[in-house]
Amino acid sequence: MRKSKEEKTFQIMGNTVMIIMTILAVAPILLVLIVSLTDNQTLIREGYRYFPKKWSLAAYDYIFMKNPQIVRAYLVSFELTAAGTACALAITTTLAYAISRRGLPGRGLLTFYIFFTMLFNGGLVPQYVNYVNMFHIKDTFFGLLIPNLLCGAFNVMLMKSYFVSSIPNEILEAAYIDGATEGQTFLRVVVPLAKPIIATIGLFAGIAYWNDWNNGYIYIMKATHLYSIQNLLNRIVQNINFLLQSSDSSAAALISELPSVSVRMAMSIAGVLPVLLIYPFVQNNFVKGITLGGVKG
Amino acid sequence: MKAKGIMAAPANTQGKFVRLLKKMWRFLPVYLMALPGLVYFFINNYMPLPGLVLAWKKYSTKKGIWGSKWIGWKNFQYLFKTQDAWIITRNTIGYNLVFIVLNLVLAVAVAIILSELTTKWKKLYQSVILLPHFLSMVVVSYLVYAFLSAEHGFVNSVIAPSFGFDRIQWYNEPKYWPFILVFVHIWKGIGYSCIVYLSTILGFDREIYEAAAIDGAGKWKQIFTITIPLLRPTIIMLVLLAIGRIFYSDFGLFYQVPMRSGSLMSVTQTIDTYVYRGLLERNDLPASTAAGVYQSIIGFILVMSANLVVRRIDKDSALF
Amino acid sequence: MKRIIAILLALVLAMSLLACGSSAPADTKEDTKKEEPAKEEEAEPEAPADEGEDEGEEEPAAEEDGDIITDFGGAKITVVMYGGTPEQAGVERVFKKINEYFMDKWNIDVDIQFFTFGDYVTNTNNLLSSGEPCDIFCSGQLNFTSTVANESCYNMYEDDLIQKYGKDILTLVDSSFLKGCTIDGALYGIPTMRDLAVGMWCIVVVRQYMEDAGYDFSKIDPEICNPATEEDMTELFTALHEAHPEMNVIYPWGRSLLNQKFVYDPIGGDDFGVLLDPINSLEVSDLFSSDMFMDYCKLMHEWQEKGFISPDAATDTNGAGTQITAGTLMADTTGGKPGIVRQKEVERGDMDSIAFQLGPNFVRAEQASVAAWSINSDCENPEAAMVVLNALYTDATVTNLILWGEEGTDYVFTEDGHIDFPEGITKENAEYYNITPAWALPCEYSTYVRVGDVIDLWDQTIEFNNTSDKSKAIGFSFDKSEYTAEYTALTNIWDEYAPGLLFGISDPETTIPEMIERMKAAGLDEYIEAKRQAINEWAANQ
Repeated sequence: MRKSKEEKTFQIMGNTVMIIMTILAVAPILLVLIVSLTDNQTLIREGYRYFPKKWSLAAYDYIFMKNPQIVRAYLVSFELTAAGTACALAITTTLAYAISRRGLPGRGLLTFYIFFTMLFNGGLVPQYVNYVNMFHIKDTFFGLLIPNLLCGAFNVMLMKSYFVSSIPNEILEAAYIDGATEGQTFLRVVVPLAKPIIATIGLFAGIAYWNDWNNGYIYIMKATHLYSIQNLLNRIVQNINFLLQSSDSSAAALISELPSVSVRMAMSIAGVLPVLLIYPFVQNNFVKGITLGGVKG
Repeated sequence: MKAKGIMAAPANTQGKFVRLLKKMWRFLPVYLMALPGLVYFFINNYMPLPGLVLAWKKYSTKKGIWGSKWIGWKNFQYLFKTQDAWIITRNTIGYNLVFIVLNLVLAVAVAIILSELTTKWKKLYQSVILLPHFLSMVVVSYLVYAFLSAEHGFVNSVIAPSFGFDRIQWYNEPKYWPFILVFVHIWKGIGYSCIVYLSTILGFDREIYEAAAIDGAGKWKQIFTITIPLLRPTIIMLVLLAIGRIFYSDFGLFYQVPMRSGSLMSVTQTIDTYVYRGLLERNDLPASTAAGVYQSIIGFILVMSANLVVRRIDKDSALF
Repeated sequence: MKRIIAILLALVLAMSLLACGSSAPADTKEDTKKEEPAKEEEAEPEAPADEGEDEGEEEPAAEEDGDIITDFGGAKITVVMYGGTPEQAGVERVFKKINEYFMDKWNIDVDIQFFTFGDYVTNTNNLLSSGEPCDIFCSGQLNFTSTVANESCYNMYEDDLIQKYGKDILTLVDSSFLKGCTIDGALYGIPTMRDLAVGMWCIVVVRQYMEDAGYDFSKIDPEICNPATEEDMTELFTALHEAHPEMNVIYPWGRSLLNQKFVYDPIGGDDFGVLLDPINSLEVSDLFSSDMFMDYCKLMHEWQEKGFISPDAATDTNGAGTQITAGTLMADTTGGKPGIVRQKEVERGDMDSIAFQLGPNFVRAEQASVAAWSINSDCENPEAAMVVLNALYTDATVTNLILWGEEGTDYVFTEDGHIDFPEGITKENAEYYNITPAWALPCEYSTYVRVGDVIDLWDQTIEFNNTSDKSKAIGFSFDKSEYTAEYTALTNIWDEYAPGLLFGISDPETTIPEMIERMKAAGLDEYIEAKRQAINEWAANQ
């Protein structure tokens, strides 16, 4: 392809916009990193600075030394994210494919059934009672895996919309006429064509599992060895919040033992760092999946 | 399309029913594929749903949700009996509308730029703009505070003196906050929301573009005549889904980021923060359930009407 | 058209699905719940049968001593407590010891579940709602009035439960405090026994800065809260400010701590309609239009304008203690009590400090129930639960096991009766240390005092509680569920103005009238009137 003048201006403008956005995203995150490495007292005296007067590793020392289970928590998080993403993809893809099939009797009904869950939910307590009394998932790995994250209506709808717009019904009908079973059609025709959206939903599910602390907060009470990294970090935050809101002078005394700002920042870094390390690999596959999946002819 | 034609063919009810059964039999494997997901939604979402009756009850843990006494609409009253109902509703809907529009325009723009860029840096761009999504709102609120605090904030201590304008007590000046909140929201979410559009664009058939290029269509023309029309179903769907959540607000954004500053409340108070402040010390499950029911019902009505309109115009883009 | 029908069908289907899906579990739950009390009533005169045993076997496994049960046949009691760091190597060992103690003494199988401060409310609520084991819990943390309104608490006067099985609690807890957890003649909780009174207007200054300002220490006792006046403080602060203009002098009381400043009683747990003269009168008045409130806000405004208070104070997320340690602040405010100076010094990393107290010691009405401990109304064996609760309040073996672990392994006595780590054990390598602070136990009086605190700390605390002024309204509680609308609106308005007023940023002369006007429009008068009626009714029944 020859590069026209218009193409060149577009490239320059595009790059400029993206560089500005990159700086806007990186600068604050860099600040988080630097604050997490700043001496807490310096922080309070001078505010946040990109070039602090005094550096300190105290925040990381606090997180890693006071919480010996942190290594285990990272492991739980990795296991959870891997298992969760795989299960979520399997369930979401099949369901989305089904409700995207033209001519499927009751398709509108099923779509509505799924969509409805986006608007109405029974609330935290009824859901807890349901899961604990009927399914006994408390203090098990399933307590982290199943509630809310396994399959989201939003992801199903996204995927369904992709199937409808990017996979021509003619291909499916042709496969059917050729005598392929539905399973074969799905695995050999649909999945290869849907790689971009599968990669996207996989990314979404992975992020959701990695970031989640709510399930551990609610469904893990005694089996604290099942805490994920986000649970562990979040619990420190929750304790700080409780003590800050408490109208009790004895409670206030405990706050001084809990490190404040620099630890919160260090916790964000501790939560994001593995993502930063792994993301390039994920992204490589993500992009590969997308480019391979482009509809050909 | 063809399938519809067959369905519409006149037939007696008996024949119609048999044909339907036959068709369902043909699609049996597809139903089976849908089954795990459908069962999951049933367990995760529909089984707890009856818990919504709490909104009309006086809760007793001894009697359980079902055994508790019915008290009618009392739990809803607090949502409406306030002078500020107008401000709260205005803020909630207003911010959401701005978010929907700006998110749409910017996310699509970024997705198109990323898809068209030829530089190898684009992978870096894409991953870096996703980073803010991983920060919790509390940390974001600290970052905003780092820039805006009266004593030590960058804006007041570095930028203001060097450009020669006055220090501003940011946390006491409501007029700036709509812009700050919108900026923070977009900044945090843009990397995430552009992914959907990006993957959809990358799924498009490149040959259409090549054909258009041969016909002499430039980049801009390609974007406006090919990319955006092809994105339309995705755009419509995401907007419809966002409309369903229009009565909900991002609690962290409106509660944490303004640092709970009272003087900003006229522009930062939303339904969620109002309810939270009222129930914080009360542990009142029915009242919070009632708020959720109210938000859901309004969202439901809005999204159903919007869907109806969309179906009139473009049947294939409607949700169902 | 077809689609609309489809949607309607979907709705019907969804509804019917969920109707049958949920009625099953709900029914079974209700059934068992109905059965249980009936079963218990049958067994009541003797003793509740051993749960989990064959139902047909009505034979009571428990032994009786006259009317009083002494052997509970292995009844299981779950105690849900809160604290700081439940994951410690020694927890299992120590809790096993506690369990053995109860098994030996009463044949009760006690299971202690610890949640951290931040998790406690959500987790305990979930336990209560789901009917999982949760026999003894801190109802005060979940908001005592709401928890009682939700019918979660067992009435301990029923069948003389507390008279039979909680005798020691009755001797330990002053009846005036017990009244604080009594609603309509039913005892729904036991107050946490700790410092219940609060020393009003207590200010703790770092000694070093006072020396820099040339303060005369001749009349000062560094161990106690020294009496002082507002003028003294303004004078002292001016001197401090001159000595260290780069620092802030004081971090004032925030919204939730306002009741540490004035003697007024926020009855019902909120500031809308309060007792302005709580020691002598039950007259309910509006706090915000009182002169006391105006004067206080004016003083804060004056302090703000003089530069004593940071202009960022309202949005600062660092606690005062942290600011003092960092060297940006010279004094903070607190509630006075025995041992407060030491507590503050520890909090500040051992900076010598001087405490002043400008007001009296006072117990407000809600203080008794604010951290009350209750038995679950759903409890299968209230007698056993009462025995356990009694032990948690008064049995030194139990309280010290929970707080400090095992003697010899986790702590040893020093010569003067304090306790300390055994040789070679420190904060860092201890197996069991600081699972919760003493004040988070139901009662701290029977626990040993750690090195650093005065040995008679608890005697001082008891004395402090008993000699303090008490609100006339102790025992009054206000169920606001009928006034949720007004309460929510008022709380939101107060939240809007409180930071500005209490940190001296806004001018009270103009702001307070504006706030009152909005509050009146939101139903302040109706709300106060409701409280007034409730307290009159309550007083008439006393």
